[in-house]
Amino acid sequence: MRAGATLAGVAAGLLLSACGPGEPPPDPQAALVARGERIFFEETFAGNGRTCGTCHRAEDNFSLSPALIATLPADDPLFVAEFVPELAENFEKPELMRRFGLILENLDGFDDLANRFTLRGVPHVLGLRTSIASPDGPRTGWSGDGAPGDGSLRSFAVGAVIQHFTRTTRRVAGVDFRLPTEEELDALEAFQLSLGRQQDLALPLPLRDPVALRGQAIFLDPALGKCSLCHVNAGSSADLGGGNLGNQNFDTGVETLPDQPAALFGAVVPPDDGFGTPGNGTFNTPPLVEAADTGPFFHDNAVATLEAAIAFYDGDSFNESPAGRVLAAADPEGDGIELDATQIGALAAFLRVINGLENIRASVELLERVAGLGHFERREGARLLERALEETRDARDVLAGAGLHPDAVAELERARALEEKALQSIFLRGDRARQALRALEQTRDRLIEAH
Amino acid sequence: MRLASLGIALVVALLCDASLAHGQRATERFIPIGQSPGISGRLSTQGTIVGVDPGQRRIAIETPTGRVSVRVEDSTRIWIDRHDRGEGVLSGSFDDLCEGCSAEVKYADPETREVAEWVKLQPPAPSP
Repeated sequence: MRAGATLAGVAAGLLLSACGPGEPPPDPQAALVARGERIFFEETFAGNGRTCGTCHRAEDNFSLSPALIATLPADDPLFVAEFVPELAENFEKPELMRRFGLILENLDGFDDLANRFTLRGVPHVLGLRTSIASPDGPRTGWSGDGAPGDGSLRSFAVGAVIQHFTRTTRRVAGVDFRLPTEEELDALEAFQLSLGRQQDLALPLPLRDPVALRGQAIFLDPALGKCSLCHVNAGSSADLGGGNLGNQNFDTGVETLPDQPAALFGAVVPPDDGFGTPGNGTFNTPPLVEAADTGPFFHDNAVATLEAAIAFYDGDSFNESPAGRVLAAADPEGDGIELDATQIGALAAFLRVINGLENIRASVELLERVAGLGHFERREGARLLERALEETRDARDVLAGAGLHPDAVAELERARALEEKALQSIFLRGDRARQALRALEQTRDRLIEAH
Repeated sequence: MRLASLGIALVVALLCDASLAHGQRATERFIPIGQSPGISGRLSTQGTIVGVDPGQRRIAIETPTGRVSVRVEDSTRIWIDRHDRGEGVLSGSFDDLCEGCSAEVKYADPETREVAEWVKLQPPAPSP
């Protein structure tokens, strides 16, 4: 009976998916996003072979970690400086790219390529709709000034093509690359804005794990963690007591950290002066919801783990920085940020859990789309399922990485197995996707009370 | 607590960078005249230089909508656009601003339209 019902369902699905009339009209915004996605991952702009997706890897949360770099073939366009003679000098620092995931940028100008450059990690592009707006205009990139033209996200791609896609370091438009058209900029912006969260969280959340719950309390405590002063709702907006300031830049002293990993390997890396030319030493505030699965951390990938990134705020580099001194001056005890190891662990647990919840949200959204596809949309189904698998894997990893919620980790393994089956299934893709979806919803219930 | 909040609110101006949305100058120089995203045709003026006053450090530009005058300060970036010849952009100076040059000017303040933040110029093609 069940098999018969399933076959009948499959037959009905086949019939429905073959029907043209009754289908919703094409959504212009969805079409623009789809076009932007194609450009993001496939368009080289007649340059050296790189695309936006060369550095903002979909399988690495639109970021780029040394672990992923180690898996890439030698002829990946990321490594053009290693096999294109015209880019062998002053285009990248290949060893530092491979070891630390650092990309060369000439943010203070191109007049002295050998000596005037910075090396920065690749920021993810998730949740941009929530994270770049400020009263002073959009803030893009690590220092908030990443885009030429009007400084907007839409204009960002133009600067990226000039910096990273060029065939030679002469950078002549029309010769070494072509600039994106207005239509391409519209599509790229729409695609990037579609990625990840479309709204901020509303903290506090009714989390079930006592350690994560304590971490949230520390995060929100203006006298202890002080995190939410610059990361309202674990996002990227600041509220220092006078209302929401949107996304802001701060000098937090990352550049003064001792024992920088690149320096320990003997590399000479020029200081990064942040916003503007010459820079004022400030860097942009990234959102934290996505932090746990997008390391390494800070603009120069200075630390590899989430726990070390949090511990940074308990150290001298932060507390003696302009931002740290201001926090201390406003504190009745004169303290900047003082945290013990258990409190750092609790903050990390909180960030890991909210990152896991975001992974689950994203995976559920993808599986819902899979469940709604017609039978013949196999390619799209596979694409969505592969992304769902990555999100579910990330949820598992961020929790398991700190021994959090073993029950939820096991449930996530089950969801992953179902997603795998959906990916391999010819006739039962939708059913398997719905089963995985239910497993994810059960996982979510283990992390947070229904609210 | 209110005092602490007030104190924090007061120092925000010192702590945060208060400058306006910042178009990156480093890569701007490589964008040909008339193609700066969000700027060209909106927040810039494009035309032909018809007057150069070194004393006042001003240039006059003839545009399709009339003649405009803009001041060039030490902080103004000047770039020589050679894309029409398939050659790279050069950094320039006030001395490169010549009558007959094509030019695009981005204003430091789009409201007052008084001072140039940057000038891109293209010298006239040499006579055959």
